[in-house]
Amino acid sequence: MAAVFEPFMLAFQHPLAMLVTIAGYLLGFFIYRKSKQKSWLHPVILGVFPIALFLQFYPLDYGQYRMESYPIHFLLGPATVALAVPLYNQLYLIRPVVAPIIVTLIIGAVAASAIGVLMGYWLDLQLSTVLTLSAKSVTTPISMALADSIGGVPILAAGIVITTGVVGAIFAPLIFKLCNVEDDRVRGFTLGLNAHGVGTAKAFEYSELAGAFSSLALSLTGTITAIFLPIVVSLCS
Amino acid sequence: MSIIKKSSKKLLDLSAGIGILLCFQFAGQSITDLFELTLPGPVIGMLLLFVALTLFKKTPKVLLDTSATLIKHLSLFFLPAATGIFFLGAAINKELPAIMLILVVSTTLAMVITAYCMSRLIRKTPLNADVTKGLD
Repeated sequence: MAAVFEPFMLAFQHPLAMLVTIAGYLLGFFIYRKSKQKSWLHPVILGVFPIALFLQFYPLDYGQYRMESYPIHFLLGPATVALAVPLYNQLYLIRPVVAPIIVTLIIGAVAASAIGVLMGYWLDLQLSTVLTLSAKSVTTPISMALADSIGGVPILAAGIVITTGVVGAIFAPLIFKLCNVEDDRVRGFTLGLNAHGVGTAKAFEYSELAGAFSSLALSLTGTITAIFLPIVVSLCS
Repeated sequence: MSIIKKSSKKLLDLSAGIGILLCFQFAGQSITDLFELTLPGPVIGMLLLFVALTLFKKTPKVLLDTSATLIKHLSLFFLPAATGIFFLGAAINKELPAIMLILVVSTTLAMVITAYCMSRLIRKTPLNADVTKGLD
């Protein structure tokens, strides 16, 4: 039981990690708002720099920082559960398009995973890195658990997943413009499927409809990848 | 006086809302542990809450407000994990440029495929502007 309480105790005794995280977020949030929401100035991207800079100059390593800022990470749990609310509110718009959703889900989830894996082979990366890449479009906790079970590297998985989310959120507006996508259902589903939680945060900026489709894609992609990826990997090896 | 009353009501509502969400997260985590699933507790909790809402047919106002607040600041909760990008470790550093290239190319490519596929399939059921409800 003591191990469970430790991060919270640390946060109490060393509030600096929490303070820096919140300060980084607020800075990112206001710059983002002032910039009229330019996607490459997203709070996730801007907020990371002051924190990394702080860790560079203050005698605190990243592992220690993670423990001391744990209460913030903890809220990701209830926030994930909360995604059910917009999903329910938009259900009447989701129901008529169940078939397109299922087909897109299968094609998109395979593409999101396979393109990364093929490029990894092509660029001659270590096997463990390639395996970790296969779970890149899945929400962080699922992908870390998956990486562990298929022979990838869990810590690398967390970094890869977040980077994927950030890349997705940055490029989404450009992709939607070039591909002429104006339907918020498509925008949301594309963001949630490929860029999971970070993409979902971005999708809610389009509309609640986009957010609901993104939440739906996030949970569906996570579910089918968690079920099928270990099977595919065991068949291939 | 009224400011204190107002903000204490807000805090109370937020605590109640997070309390409800945590109940579902706990239920989800229990299911995950019991059946040893790879799905994380909060994701199962989200599915459980969704089922509960469809059965209940009405979302309590506390829950509406709390979820809107949490979702608005979703990015904050990712920051500690996101900072890890800078601290991936020496073993990976050699492969880092290749990994970055892969992530950018494969993610954009997969997004184009997803968006194209969904756009084609959804064309038959257009979205009527009059049924769309804005967030706020």
